[in-house]
Amino acid sequence: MTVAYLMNLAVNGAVEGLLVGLLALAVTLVFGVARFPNASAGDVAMVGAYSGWLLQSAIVSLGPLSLVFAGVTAMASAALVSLALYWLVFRALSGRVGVYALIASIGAAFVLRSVVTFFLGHDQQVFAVPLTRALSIGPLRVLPIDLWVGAIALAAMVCVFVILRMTAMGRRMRAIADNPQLAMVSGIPAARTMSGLWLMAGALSGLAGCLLGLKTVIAPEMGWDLLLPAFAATILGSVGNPLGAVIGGVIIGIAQEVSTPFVGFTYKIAIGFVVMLLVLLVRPEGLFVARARVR
Amino acid sequence: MALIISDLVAGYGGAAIVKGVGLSVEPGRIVAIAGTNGSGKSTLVKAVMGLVPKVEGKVDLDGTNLLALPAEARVAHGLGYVPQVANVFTTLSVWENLAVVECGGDRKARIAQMFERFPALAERKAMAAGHLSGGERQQLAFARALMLEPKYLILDEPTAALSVALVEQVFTLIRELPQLGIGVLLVEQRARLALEIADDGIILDQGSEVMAGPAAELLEDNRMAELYLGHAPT
Repeated sequence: MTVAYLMNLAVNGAVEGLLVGLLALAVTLVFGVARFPNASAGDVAMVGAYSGWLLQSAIVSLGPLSLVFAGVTAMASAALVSLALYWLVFRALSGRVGVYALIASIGAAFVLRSVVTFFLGHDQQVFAVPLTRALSIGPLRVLPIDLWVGAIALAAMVCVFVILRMTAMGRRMRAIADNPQLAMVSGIPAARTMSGLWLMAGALSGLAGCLLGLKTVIAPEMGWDLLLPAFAATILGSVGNPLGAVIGGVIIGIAQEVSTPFVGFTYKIAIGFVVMLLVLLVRPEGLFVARARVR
Repeated sequence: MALIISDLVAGYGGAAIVKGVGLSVEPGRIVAIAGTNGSGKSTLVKAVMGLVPKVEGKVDLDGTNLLALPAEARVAHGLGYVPQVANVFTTLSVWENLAVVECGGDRKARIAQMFERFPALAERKAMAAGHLSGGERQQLAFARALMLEPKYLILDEPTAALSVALVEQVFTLIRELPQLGIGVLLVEQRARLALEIADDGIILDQGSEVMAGPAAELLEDNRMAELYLGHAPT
């Protein structure tokens, strides 16, 4: 095992970590404002991946452009599913203890997975991605698709931070996250703001699912597999902190990949949780509690 | 034209905390609510704002019954509220605290007006509200509420936890509100000070009204003064 090998694993882990961070961002946004851990985020991501794949299968003749349309479709479909879940399930549970919404979100996740497997089966699917040669950057060998995946994930995160910081909708979301009762008596339209939040969280989840599908495969369990490290990243980066979720995701992604030669592929997912537990033993509130909550 | 509260009963599930209270606030007038700790003053105003789960009776604002409306709709009808605690968005900047308010008309012009009215806030517009001093925070809470151009403003113990110097500053602010045509419903621990600037007053005890009337008369009432205002009038 060489240093170059470990560096390559770290780069791969960072890209996977950005995908984990993307879903963690969706989870932490919802937690910061709606105050519960949304366990359906992973399966919303899975729905996005399948939607993108279905569309790309139909327009594959367009070449690489079909992937752009697939990404947009993944985001749009996941955003709509997310919004529907809010209006049909979570809105009615707002104001109640978070565990009700958590259980409901687990149920929603199972329903989404069942619907997808009922219509599309359990087989793994792949996006039609052009074969490309890895780029050599010093000792690193990076696939162009990984560069694209990382760049798109980063761009999406930047968009979210711009929305949160520089738009009226983002300010409203942060105000509700800060003090829901004061937001109410400040005339902030809760239903419209929450709809925006769930659309954004859904779009992020759909993009995460689509990018994960591009990098690996599309399968009914992919959302659940992505959700667990995303939850770990959310906690690691301090629950409700968007930037913390992203950094937590990258830390967990790198830890998982770099541990593969030592613990094997099967157990690498546990490493992310080991890292999370170690950090929480030293800093129970997570790494970035001073800036916690959607702000 | 008035905010009229009739036979209001309110609580959080068990026994009622507010038991059949009534009062009215007209534009440009101040009504003070006084009473001992636990007398139901804050619950009363929270019920008016739609922040208490169990409410019966009637809250009529210029002909509209507010009890059927959610809190944000009550705000849209012209009701403003400055809570006792947690009255600013601590993680948002001073400017964002004002910009986030859902006011009609020219938002930028309204913010400029607020900064003109509260110059200390203008100097700290980029600062997180959580880092403001107690007095500045109270100014921001007032400015946030005034952004909505309320017809009636409910102030829940606006001087709680403020130093004596800041209390006078806050009372100066409250005195100016009727000049803007705003009707004020003021809940205050400092009952004597509140009644001194109020037109009318109501004294609550264990959720029920024990006395109501012109503030000057309440201040002169020996029994009320001894029980609720600290000492008898001189």
